[in-house]
Amino acid sequence: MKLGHVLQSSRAMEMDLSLHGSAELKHAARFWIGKEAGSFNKEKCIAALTRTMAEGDTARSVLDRLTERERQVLGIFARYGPTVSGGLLTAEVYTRGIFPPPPKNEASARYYQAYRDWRERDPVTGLGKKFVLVGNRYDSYSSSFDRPRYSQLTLHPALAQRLTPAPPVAWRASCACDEPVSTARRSSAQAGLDLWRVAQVLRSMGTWQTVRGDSPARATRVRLRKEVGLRDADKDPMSPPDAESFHYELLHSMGLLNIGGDRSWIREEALERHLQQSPAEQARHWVRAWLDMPLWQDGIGVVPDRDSNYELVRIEPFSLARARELLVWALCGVAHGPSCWLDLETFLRDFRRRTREAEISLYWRSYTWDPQFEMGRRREQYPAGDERLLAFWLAAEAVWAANALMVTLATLGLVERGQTDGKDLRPCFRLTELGRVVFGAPEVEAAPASGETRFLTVQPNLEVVAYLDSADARQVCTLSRFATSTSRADSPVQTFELRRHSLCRALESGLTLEQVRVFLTEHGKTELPANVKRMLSEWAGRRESMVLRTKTVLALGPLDSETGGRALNSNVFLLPSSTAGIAALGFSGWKILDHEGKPERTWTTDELGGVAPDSRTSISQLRLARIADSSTTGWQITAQSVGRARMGGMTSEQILGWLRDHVKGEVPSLLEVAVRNWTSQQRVQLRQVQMLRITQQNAQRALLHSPTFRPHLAGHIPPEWFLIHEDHLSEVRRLLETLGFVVAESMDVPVVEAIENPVNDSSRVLPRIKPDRKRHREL
Amino acid sequence: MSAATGILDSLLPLFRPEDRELHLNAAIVEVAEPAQLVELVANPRIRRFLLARLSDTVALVDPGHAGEIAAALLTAGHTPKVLTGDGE
Repeated sequence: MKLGHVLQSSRAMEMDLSLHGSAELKHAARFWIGKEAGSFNKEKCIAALTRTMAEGDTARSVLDRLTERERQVLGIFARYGPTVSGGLLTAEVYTRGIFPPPPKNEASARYYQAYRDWRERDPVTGLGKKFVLVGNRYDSYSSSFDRPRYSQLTLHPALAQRLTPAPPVAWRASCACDEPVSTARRSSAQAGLDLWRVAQVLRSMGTWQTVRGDSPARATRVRLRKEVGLRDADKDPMSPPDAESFHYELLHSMGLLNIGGDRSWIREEALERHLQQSPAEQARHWVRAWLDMPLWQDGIGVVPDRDSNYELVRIEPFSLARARELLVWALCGVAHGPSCWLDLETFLRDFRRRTREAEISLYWRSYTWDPQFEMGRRREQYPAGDERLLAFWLAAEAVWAANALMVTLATLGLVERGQTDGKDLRPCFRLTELGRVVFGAPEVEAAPASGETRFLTVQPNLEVVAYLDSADARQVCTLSRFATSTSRADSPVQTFELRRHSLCRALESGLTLEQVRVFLTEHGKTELPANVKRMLSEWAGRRESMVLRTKTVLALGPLDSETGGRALNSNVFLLPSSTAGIAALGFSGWKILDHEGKPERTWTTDELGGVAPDSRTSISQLRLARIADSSTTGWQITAQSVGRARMGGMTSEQILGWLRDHVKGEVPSLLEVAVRNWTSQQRVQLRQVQMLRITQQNAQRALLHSPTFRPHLAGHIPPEWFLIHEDHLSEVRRLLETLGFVVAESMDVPVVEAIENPVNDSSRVLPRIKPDRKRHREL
Repeated sequence: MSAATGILDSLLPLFRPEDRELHLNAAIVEVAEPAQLVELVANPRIRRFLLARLSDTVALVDPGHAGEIAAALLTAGHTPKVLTGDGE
């Protein structure tokens, strides 16, 4: 399949003629219709233009009336369009030499005249006035007096089909690069596998929380990092910072994630479709996703979805998108140039020169990898002028470009890194075969695949060694579906393990055992070991021998109608699923129980565990039999019956859940406490105590702090109750009487009454007892 | 009565319906051999989600716990085929 240009934009723009003034409309109408339009008023101009632009044969006559230079400009739109961004258009027009850059600003009257003349001759401006190119009046990327550049423009749809695209412009380096002494590259399979691993963890999470800008919440990022564990910039500056988030943003930008309100999830079918594409198609999607990825920034990592005038939090997204687009544009030129190594600093200097008018300006200074370009290091030594500007650019914006090129795009397998020998090691690069296809499209096409690739070896210990350099992302992702990756290193040789659960997961997702066998045989460098074949068959067989059926229809009781059900025993039948819809019709007189509905509340319970069910449905009876003992008067939940349920694996929460499902009204709190106690014993303390009550506050304080009374006190229940040691009662009585207290023999204790829930809301009238810790230890 | 049936009777008694009932959206676990069902019900972490035995090879799942039993089976090293309805 032939790829489209990686920068091709399908964005269209509606043209609203009523927004234009009479003079503009008249000028355009004279071009589209003829001289007679010069006498039209505004309404007539709009009507005539609308009619003419819609006519089928207008395009040819309009194109005939254009100059050669204007047709060259339209060729750019045919190559990238119908919409071309201002930066790309500016770079293309000047690089192709369609129109010279503006005269140098000399701040003189002669300059302004020269500038005005230059503007008048500008073919892009002329095409805009003729309504052949349509712009957005509010485009922020517009021309300024000292830095003239175009805004985003769209080719009029009437002309789009009749134009010949401009040919590619090959990149010519200003200085040759030596052969590198060391190189590093990643295969498309490695890049695809990284993406797959992140998607797998997201899939296992089911849903996850996002924050502003649809980025994963911090907890999600931590889990991704822990479970995927890609090589990060913290360990290797040539790896992307926050690598898992980079792949998350790629998935997001490709539309493979469904971002909900609080929760998000993965779009399985779209992901599957993406993975089934050829490596070049996948890589093209990655690049296009990266172009439009604001919340992960090259050499920086994850950034918040906000800007601040007072604090530097990220590169402004629009500037970053423009810079990425221009870098990709330059790489498209490289793909059409000779296949040789390019010195990074030389390339970026050439890049700056060719995009000077489009101007890449990023307000950021700290990146994870700083190549320390020679000219950038010596920037302060240059006198004011172009060289000094270039030196400062190399110390700032070029560092971003270096990170994007040598880290981000290299991670995606599009760029091969190298280092040349010499006085200083100088970084250099070239496009990989995949990079040349992606950036060189549509002219450069992928070489046809040479039959089946043998990229793996299955070992008798169930390990699969995969050589990713020889595979593509599609094949490695298929392998990942039924084998678990055990390699953590970013290596072209990865180890996978065949496990029972990974095979079953694959079978669950639709793969068959035969497909797994064929895959391992076709891609294996050696024959599939016999024991591995046997294990795979055994695992698949075991899976076949156990079935969990959900949403079935069961008939419990003698089945006299001819429903075609399968008998599970003499009185239980598994009916066809379609029976559910006609249940009410075909089973009149049968009790219908929906397992997804709420059970009937038919149990009446008392605090001590007596249960009386009003109806005898099977679910109710079976559940009661599990948690209660049958007696002559009904059912009784006891310590023994709960213990039996515990032996069967039930938890107290499950037992209480059943009670809540079936009991009319609330489950008595005392019974709830009892069930919990029967499953895990709760300790309480009970003993006889001698108590002294003093209501006067000053007397309470005096007693509490008295050295005389201290030996007799066993505890204090604030504010008015004192616990007396059993054998000190008479001594305390004597002391109190000596001190003038009248000791009453009876206690006026508040009456406990009408307490609704003593477990949860212990009433204030109940005194709270704080036990004497010392005494408690003694006991 | 086989040995497996004896064990099953003690761990998960056979269900004998007293009334005519139609159960919609029910979940069941089917195994090929009674011994496999013995293996399942002997594990309390699985048995807690099984309500009754429908035959020596079929058990009824407690309503609302199909997801939990699938997870429990996987945790216990079983890899059941999960089907919806009566489909194969």
